Amino acid sequence: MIKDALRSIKDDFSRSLFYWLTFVLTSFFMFLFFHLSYSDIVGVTLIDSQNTIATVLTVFVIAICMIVIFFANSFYVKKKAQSIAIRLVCGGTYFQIVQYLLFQTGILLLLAIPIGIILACLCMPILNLVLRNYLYSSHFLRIRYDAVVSTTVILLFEVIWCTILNLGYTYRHSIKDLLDDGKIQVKFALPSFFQIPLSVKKWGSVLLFIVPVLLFYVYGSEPKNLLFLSIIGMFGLYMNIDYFVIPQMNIYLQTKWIHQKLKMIYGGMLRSDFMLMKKNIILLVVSAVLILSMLIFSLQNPTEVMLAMISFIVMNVLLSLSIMFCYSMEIVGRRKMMKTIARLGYMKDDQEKMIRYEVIGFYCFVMGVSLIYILNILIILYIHQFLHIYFIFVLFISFVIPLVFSGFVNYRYYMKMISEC
Amino acid sequence: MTQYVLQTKKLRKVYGLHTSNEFEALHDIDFAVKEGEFVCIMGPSGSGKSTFINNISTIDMPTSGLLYINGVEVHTMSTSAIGRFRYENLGFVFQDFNLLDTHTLYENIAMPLSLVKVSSQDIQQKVRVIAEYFHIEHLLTKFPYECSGGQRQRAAICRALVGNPQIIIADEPTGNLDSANSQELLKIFQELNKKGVTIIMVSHDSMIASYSTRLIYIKDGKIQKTIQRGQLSQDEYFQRIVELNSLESRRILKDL
Repeated sequence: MIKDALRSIKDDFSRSLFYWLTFVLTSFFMFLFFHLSYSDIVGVTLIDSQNTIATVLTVFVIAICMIVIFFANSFYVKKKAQSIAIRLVCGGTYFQIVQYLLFQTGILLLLAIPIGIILACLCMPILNLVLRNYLYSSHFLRIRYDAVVSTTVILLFEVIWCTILNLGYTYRHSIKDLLDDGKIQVKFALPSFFQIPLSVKKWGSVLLFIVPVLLFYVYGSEPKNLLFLSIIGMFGLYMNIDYFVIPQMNIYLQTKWIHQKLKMIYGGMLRSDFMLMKKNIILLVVSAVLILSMLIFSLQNPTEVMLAMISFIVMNVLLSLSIMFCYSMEIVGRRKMMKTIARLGYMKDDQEKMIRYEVIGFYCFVMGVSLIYILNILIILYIHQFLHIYFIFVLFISFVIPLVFSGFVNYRYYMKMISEC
Repeated sequence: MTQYVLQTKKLRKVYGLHTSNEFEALHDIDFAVKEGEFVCIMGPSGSGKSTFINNISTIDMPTSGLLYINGVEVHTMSTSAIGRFRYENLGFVFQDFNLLDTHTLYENIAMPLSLVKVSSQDIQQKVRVIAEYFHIEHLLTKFPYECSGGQRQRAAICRALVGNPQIIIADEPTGNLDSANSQELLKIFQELNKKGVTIIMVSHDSMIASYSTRLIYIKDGKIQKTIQRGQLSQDEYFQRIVELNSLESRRILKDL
């Protein structure tokens, strides 16, 4: 079984590498994060924590880490669907399959956790430097017993979480489903008690998204107003994708893009991406905006500012990775689609252009809708002199870079898939 | 001189050329299709039927030999010219439909038209007309995964026919359909053939093959036998096909 697991990691090296990288990053962030939140000046404790904002942030970050691992694990296991199915057909039991997947996850975790922790230890002097020189704090971070315990517990929980996920994956899919490599599921809508006209929902969602941004400049001097307006705006964004973006794309696809051979294909794929990854997009934007709003509450305490900033960076990196994994899973399923497109008469360079436009379009959308809020919050922070311009720049960059990186990886992965078709 | 829509001369296809896994799937095949023919390709599993159909429809390129499309040899055509030939002349129908799950049925059907730069008004009209003909006009806003197998196959046929192709290439088109839907599809093929559309279809079912006007039997990458329907009734033609198949099966049994 161990030999099998090692061979499987070797055969699927690039995928294993990304899975491993997710574990490295989560270990790295967890370790740093717990050291910051448990520091005396922030004051989060394992039991009866007194610092509400820091506690909320801690729970939030842990939840996000779990979600990202869920996506990474699905991406990793889905490609193995066929090999799992063959093992089951040959008489393998679910227990053996879980064992096989657990060995793979275990090996990758064992290789990832120490590296993540070493990297985190190496980063501590840099954080201390930032605390001293830019946030003018006299407090220094050092290795803490409770932080190490919490990191270990959470990482162990990660292993159990992955095992449960894998067990669930193999158990809830029949052998045929695994061989078919999964298909998009038909969703059934719940009956609605109030019939609101579609045009009201459409323009209402646009207003809910846009108006709070404008109100930032009127009521933005109060941190709690920023948080409240951001929550309304995020609700608007959620509705916007369903009632504005998708219907608008339907109209464009059936009228303006239908006679344009490239736009009509990548437009449809883009629409499908939005439908599939709506939750990931919303989660990324909501997390970024809410943490940024929470950051304002922590301005009195430099270590808390650092904690909120680290949370912001952790969220962006991990949620960008989750989008990347989800997108990659979709790309895996598009191999056959690309063959069909080629059979219809689309050339290789047409396909390459489609992919380029699709990936750029998708990430520009994600970045665009997020930056409408993030940039305005940052401007408000600057206007009211809540935060130094350097930090505003760091926050901006830390949001953009992970998304650009994810887009680049997805693009390369897509192109590789096309060249193999 | 007879003008063929498709013609092959000594067509060979070798997989894994110059490797330890070299395998010759097609051996020097000479084959020609006249305009308006309905050709069925039959043969046992692994005989090279799908390889053959992929090579003559430019989805795959032959290793050697000549392939003429409307008198033009494929190797002299640029890749864009081959692509253009494909979307201007060919309509594909596959066993597993091959509709794009990311697009609605309307968009799937419109795809070949967008390739030939038809205006959006014309696309709308053509898609509506063909969807009504195949009784799927009420499904145009649905995605393929929201439709049944029969509905998806109808949409795939609409997509294959919407551009009025000169040739229809069908690889086991009834493989995922029940008998009623299969009969309906074959009647459609017959009607189209009567209108002058050339049909090249792969099937392993003798009954389905009996709808054709010529049967090509492929075995081990070679054309073993050809049966012309000529003046035969469909029933007589069907008998000949069944005999050919059973003869081949008996030969395999004897070898065992």
